[in-house]
Amino acid sequence: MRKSGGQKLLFASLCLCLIITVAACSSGDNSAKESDSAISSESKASNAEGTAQASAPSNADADSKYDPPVEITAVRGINGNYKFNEGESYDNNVWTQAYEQELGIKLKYKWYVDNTQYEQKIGLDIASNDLPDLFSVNSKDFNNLAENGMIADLTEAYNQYASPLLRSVLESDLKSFEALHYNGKLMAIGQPGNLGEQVNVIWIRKDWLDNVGLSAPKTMDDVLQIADAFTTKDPDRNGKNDTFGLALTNQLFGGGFADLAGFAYGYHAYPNIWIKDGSGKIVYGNVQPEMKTVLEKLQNMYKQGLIDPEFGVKDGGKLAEMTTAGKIGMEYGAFWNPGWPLGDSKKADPKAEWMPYTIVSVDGNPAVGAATVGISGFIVANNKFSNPEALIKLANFTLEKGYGKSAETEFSKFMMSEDGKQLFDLAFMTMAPTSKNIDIMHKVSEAVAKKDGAGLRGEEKSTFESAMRWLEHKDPANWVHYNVFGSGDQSAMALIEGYSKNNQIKVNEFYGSPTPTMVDKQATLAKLESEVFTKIIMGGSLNEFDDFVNQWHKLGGDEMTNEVNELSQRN
Amino acid sequence: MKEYSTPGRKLFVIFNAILLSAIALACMLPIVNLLAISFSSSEFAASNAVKLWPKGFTLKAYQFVADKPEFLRSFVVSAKVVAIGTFINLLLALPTSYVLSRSEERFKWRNVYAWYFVLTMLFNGGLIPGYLTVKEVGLLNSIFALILPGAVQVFSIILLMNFFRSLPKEIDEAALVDGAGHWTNLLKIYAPLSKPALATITLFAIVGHWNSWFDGIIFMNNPMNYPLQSYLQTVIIKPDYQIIASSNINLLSLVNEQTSRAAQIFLATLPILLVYPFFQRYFIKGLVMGSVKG
Amino acid sequence: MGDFFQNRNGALHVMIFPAVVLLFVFSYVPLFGLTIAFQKYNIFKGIFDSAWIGFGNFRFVLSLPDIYQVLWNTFYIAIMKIAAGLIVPVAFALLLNEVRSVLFKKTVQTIVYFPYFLSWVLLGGILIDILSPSTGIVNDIMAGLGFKPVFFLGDASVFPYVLVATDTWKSFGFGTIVYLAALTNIDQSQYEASIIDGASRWKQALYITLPGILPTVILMATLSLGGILNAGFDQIFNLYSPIVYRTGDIIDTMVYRMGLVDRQYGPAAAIGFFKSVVSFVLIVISYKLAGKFANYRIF
Repeated sequence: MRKSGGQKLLFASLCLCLIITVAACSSGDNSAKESDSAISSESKASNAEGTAQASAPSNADADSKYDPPVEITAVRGINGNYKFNEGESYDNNVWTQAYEQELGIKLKYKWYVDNTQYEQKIGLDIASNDLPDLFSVNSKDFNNLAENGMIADLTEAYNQYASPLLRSVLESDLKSFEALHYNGKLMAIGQPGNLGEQVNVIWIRKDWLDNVGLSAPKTMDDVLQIADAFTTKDPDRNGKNDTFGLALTNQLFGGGFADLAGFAYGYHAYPNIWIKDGSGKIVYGNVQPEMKTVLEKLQNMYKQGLIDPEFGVKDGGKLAEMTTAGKIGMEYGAFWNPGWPLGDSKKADPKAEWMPYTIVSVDGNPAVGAATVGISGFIVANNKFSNPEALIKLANFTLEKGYGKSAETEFSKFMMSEDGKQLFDLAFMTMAPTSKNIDIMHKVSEAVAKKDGAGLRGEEKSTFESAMRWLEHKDPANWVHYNVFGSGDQSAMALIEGYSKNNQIKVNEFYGSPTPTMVDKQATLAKLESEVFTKIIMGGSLNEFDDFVNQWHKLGGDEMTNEVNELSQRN
Repeated sequence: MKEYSTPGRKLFVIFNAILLSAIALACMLPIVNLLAISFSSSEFAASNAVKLWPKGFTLKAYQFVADKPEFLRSFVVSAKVVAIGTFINLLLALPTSYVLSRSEERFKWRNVYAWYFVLTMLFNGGLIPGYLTVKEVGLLNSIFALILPGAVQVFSIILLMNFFRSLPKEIDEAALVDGAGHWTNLLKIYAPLSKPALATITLFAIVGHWNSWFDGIIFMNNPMNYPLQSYLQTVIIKPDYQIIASSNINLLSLVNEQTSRAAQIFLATLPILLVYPFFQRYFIKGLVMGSVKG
Repeated sequence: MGDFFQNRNGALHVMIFPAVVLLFVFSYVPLFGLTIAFQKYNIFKGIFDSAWIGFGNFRFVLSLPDIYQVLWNTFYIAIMKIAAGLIVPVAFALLLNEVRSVLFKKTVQTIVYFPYFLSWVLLGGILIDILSPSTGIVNDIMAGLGFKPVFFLGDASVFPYVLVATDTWKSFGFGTIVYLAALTNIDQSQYEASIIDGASRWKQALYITLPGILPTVILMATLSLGGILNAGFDQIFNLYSPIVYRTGDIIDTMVYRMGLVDRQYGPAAAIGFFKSVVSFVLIVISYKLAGKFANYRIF
């Protein structure tokens, strides 16, 4: 089928997901200072109380096993593409068996649903007040559950049972860790995101660059020049005027593919996030004067035919098709773009040599990308559940099998089988160090350079092998691993690491649940904004931007700004 | 029937044939396109190069579906829902329509009943109350959760009722005077005379059950019990990038399984397309004569 | 005589009983959910503990700056779809009725039934291609006829009509079935009599066939009024974009986007309730009108 419609849904769900991440929990930062002190005081108290608790195992050992075993109900989102072996199921697999044998936890799933429908389904469980012992929610629901006293305080259990590995992952970023708190109490376990991975790179077809005699962009002017050459100089040498200079979707900013956010960073504009202005006040990026410059540049590109005149009706799916069909040679996108859709482009045209470049700026100041502190999935324990510490144990266990000592021997049993089966899909939860991808990049790139994968294990090993298969056999299916992880300084992951190292990340100043005004007004404002921005790009008057800014302030933007600043000052 | 063969008529016949053919052609394009994609190799599909004929012909997509036990399992669930659900729909529609087709003079409750039914077409409590009701009745995760909430198809009942009312009153009264009960009257007289209407509502019931997907996702606890369209929903709406990108970049390639998606959609649509000709004879005028000839 | 039928009414109550009970359980019981429209509903608290805010949700929805535009779009698109959804299937059924070859008739009938079964997700992708102003086949044909290219999905002034046209294209084949069934119910002897009177085919269509299916047309028209504020979420969601929000944004897509920010059960329920009331009023009016002027009772 054509992807576009589904893609639209995907993008919709992606927006949702972005919003969730954006809304990565206010509670923690509402009371950041409070929370720190609370944690330390709680931890002192917990030693005394923890041992007094009758139902919990008496030793505070992170690996202690329940005897007799406890039965725990849970629910889960699944990836519908997993292929089970004979007799295997989500209820019965290496993970559930190990939970029972090693932890004394009998995990019983009340239901499973495809990840895309999870939020809907857990909403119904919440509405019918029929929640399992352990489950995962988004940040909005997390806050509401905590506020309504429906989930358990994990502070004590965490202090008592959390393994050093779990602590190192959860506490690697203080803001992310705060996001797991409500009123100073740890109420959830969740995977903190890597901020750098949220920032785009510029994906450019190196073969086209060579064809038009240009080199890697250093400034935004170079980007515009490349866009011009990719439109007018027949970069694919097919003798037809059938290419565009820069990819963009009707969503403009966001989506992680053909995403103009990276373009905006070049003009020091920060779409869809809240930033500090010169005076230290938090303001909304889309109504700043820099955004007008971005729109002006895009309008010029539109006038010159450098962007698709029909972009207004095209979503990421359509753009992916155009990219694969060889109409697009430059796009701003996430590090994972080679997985989709650039990998398809490579398969369709092996000459397509997509290379990642770091985002560039219009002036002497380096381009800075935006990221939002986020937790992907808050895993919480029902307040009625008598063994909330089981969640900590499961988290310990998950990390240990994947990234602890046991990973050295058991990685292929629990994480990825020798034949490439993604066993971690079967686990109740997935957790990994936030630097996982960057670590893999270093190890794999080093091994690729030496052509020797000795000492690599697990994901590093499989990634190395794929990268080598690409280098040796030019099998396009394996190109993604080389490009993202295996090509050293040229790999996308290396650029991501560079963003962190070079301070090229601006953190969204707002990462709470939507404020009351956002709940009421944001959809309206977003509609207005997307209409005006699209219109301007397609040739509308730039004055419309100023009108929009006025409107935005009047129709709720001022209230939102006040709310966001108040929240931030409470810290 | 005698055919008129004036020049105007001839012109009309030709014009009509051309018009209908053109319309039919326009209606065929998407499914031909779908079929072509399902037989194409993935790089052509991904670049939107496949139009009405496969490019890089391959059966891979169909092999993929054949290897997927979920598809067949959901197919069986759907077949069950259609069989039981349609049967129950008809079982309820026949007597209900019959009762509602009584005239008000003879059955004064009829109007009360009629509005009782019509109101349910207009007002509904929404998702959460609907879910809670099904849950309280104890139907969660049961195939009857997909059947009973929609067992009374008011639209079909009104359609059938109108058909019943268009039948000549005389036979009806004759039968009742003869001492036959309402049930006999319904089954011996009304039902046999209403084949086109029954065929219509049966087809609606089959199509309705076959196409519904949301109830499957809401009421079933395990994708093993999903009907086909619920399962397809999870295939069509692609997984979330962020979830994928954070866990594994390999999974991203699945986002673009267009050919297998096309194959699955086609296979899931085929049965409902094939069912139609079986009902068609009831809709073709002339094959079924009006039962009461003057 | 009166007694005779009265006695039998007991049987009628029995016959309708199962359907009455099922509807009570699955349609009437959940109506307690209508209260959500009048609450600041919070799923964490439930219906019994959420705060009552009277018409607060309605006021909120009506206070949205573009609500009247959106309501108008919804109504405008829906009413055109209802009209096209009546006229096209009827016309098609009549044209098909004039075809003599049973094979041709059956084939055409079967083919036009196809698109109904394809989702808007799928058709959306196809339509973006075939309606493209630069590469789409529709504009190619129009160019051949000397027309300027039209950006069907990107021009706010034509977008509503594109919605109506594509929706009709998708569903008229399925919609025709009801009329085909109605056609079979026309007494054949009327045609025979008219031939003796020397009536032309055209006159037959006008004076026998059309009146013969008129009750069904009135019925379908009345029932479709229930959808007066349902302009088709799936279709619009898959075809619209910011350039055509002005004419293409409808209530349901607006509620959907509001839901992306936060769950919006209260306002959504309020809108649902509003739609129901409007449909109810329209259906009652048309019921009365049909009874009064056509002496025809729809249900």
